[in-house]
Amino acid sequence: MSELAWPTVPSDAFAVAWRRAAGVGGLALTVVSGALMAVGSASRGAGVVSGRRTLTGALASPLQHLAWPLTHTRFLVLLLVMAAGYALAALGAPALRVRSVVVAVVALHALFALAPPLLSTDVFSYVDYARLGAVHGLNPYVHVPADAPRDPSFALAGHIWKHTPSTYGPLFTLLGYPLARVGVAASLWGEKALAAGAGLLCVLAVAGCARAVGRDALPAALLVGLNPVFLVYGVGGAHNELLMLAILMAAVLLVLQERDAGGAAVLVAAAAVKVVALIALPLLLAARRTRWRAVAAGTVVATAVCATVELAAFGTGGAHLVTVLAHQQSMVSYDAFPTRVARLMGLRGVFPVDRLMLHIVVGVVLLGLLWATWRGLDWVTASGWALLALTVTATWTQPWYLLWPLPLAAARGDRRLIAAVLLVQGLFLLTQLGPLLA
Amino acid sequence: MSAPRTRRRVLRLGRDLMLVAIAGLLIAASVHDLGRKVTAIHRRQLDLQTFRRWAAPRVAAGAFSRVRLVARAPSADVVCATRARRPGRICAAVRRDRHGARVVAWALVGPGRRAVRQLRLARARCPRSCALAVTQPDGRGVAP
Repeated sequence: MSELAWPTVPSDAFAVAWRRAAGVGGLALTVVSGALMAVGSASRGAGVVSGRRTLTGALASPLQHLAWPLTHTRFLVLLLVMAAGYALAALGAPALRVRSVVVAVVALHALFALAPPLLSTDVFSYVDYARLGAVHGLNPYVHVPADAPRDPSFALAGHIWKHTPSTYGPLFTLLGYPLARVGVAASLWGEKALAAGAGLLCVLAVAGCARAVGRDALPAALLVGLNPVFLVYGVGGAHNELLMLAILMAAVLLVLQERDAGGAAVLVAAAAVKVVALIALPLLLAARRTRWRAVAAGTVVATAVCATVELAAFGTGGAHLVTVLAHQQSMVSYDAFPTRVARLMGLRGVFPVDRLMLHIVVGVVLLGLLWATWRGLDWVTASGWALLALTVTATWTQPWYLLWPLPLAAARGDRRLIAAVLLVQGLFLLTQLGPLLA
Repeated sequence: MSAPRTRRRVLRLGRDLMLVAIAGLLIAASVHDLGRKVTAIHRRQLDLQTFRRWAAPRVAAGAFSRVRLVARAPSADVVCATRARRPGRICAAVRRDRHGARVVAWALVGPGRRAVRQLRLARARCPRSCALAVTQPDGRGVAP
């Protein structure tokens, strides 16, 4: 027996040492490349900042005095290194110390919160919509930023959104009102702080969910908290995806703790930030059908509260959100997966008939997931697959949409789903590498 | 093996095969897209180099800045440079073929985009010889 046991000792020791080395090395690579990226983006003329020509004074990043010249090519190299570090850290996660992971996650969230808005002008649209209501007395669901063209945030907002009413949930819009009254800079840094805080809360909620289902919390938290897309696009770009995901994961945690009514209510609150969270509700209902009364009660009460707040704040104008979202779904983005597939097949792009077919495909997938959840599939995993199907088939896709299924996949630890989410994120990053290969 | 278990296995295999097929399609589409992007960058670099080489003897060194591509078409691209000390821009249509790239038509562009539009129309309508004929070697601008 001892003869058989002897050879396993060094091989186990080797495996543990390899894992630890991979974990520590990966963690160090992620932190260093992420920090260089966040600090470098504060330099003048950095190739990754939105509205960089006008970010002066209070709008400029506090990191600008430490900044080094970050070109677009250097940014891509750092993004590749960060992705490699993330992969190594995820592989070696079980061997890492909790404290080092917590420090890395918090430090990177803080650095990307202090960096200027990265790779998107959406945060300026958030500020503009909030100022429409808070400063100019206009309903952001009826009016468009172009109705207040002299507002200082107007010039910074993304061109295509200047003539579109808000596409965001009423809870998120109202959250922006207090700081919008103070000024554009206060509003911008408030949005950045909100994104970073929500990112950290999301990581905490994912760790809580993993623990609730009897899994190790550290790898799950690391998978979300050090994810390059989560940090660079989510926190760096201050996208409201992180707030929606933090609330959604809080809902999942409540349901896992058998507090179904509270979970359903919080899930509705997540949808009041970004409507896409609503996709999890029928799956939750199917999974907890024996306790459907609690789920339905939570849903009805939260919907009534949200509808009352929305009516009080925005009147019947809030109903325009549905029309605006439908219009957004009819748009086509250059990097969307359907567009790529169309080009692979020699087509010029995605046409309305293709979009109709994609909607049918998503409908069939959702029905299939609903059926599978009814038959016993875990609703959190099913929600992750549903959100992934939505991101892959939508003709209007942005990199930060690829974050939607990540916390659900990490919380439940479904290997297939984690692999699929990371593959989709990896393919997105791959197509950004053109300037490096040319 | 019981029938329900076999059916479950077949269903699971079918689902996995479908996931692998979708993943393969997405990988192929993304790699193809990356190839397109790299080709587009090469074409742009070639256009800008050709333009700079062409513009160098016509415009005093350093007299223009911010060379940029303003339009792209299957037959030719329009490249423009802002002139530093004089108003307006100098624009040229660059055509690529298997022998390389060359300027086939050009114009001095004042305020507004009329001349660029005319340039685009000209290269869209003219066959190769016609487009070459509108280039004047004496340095005076022509909007064909």
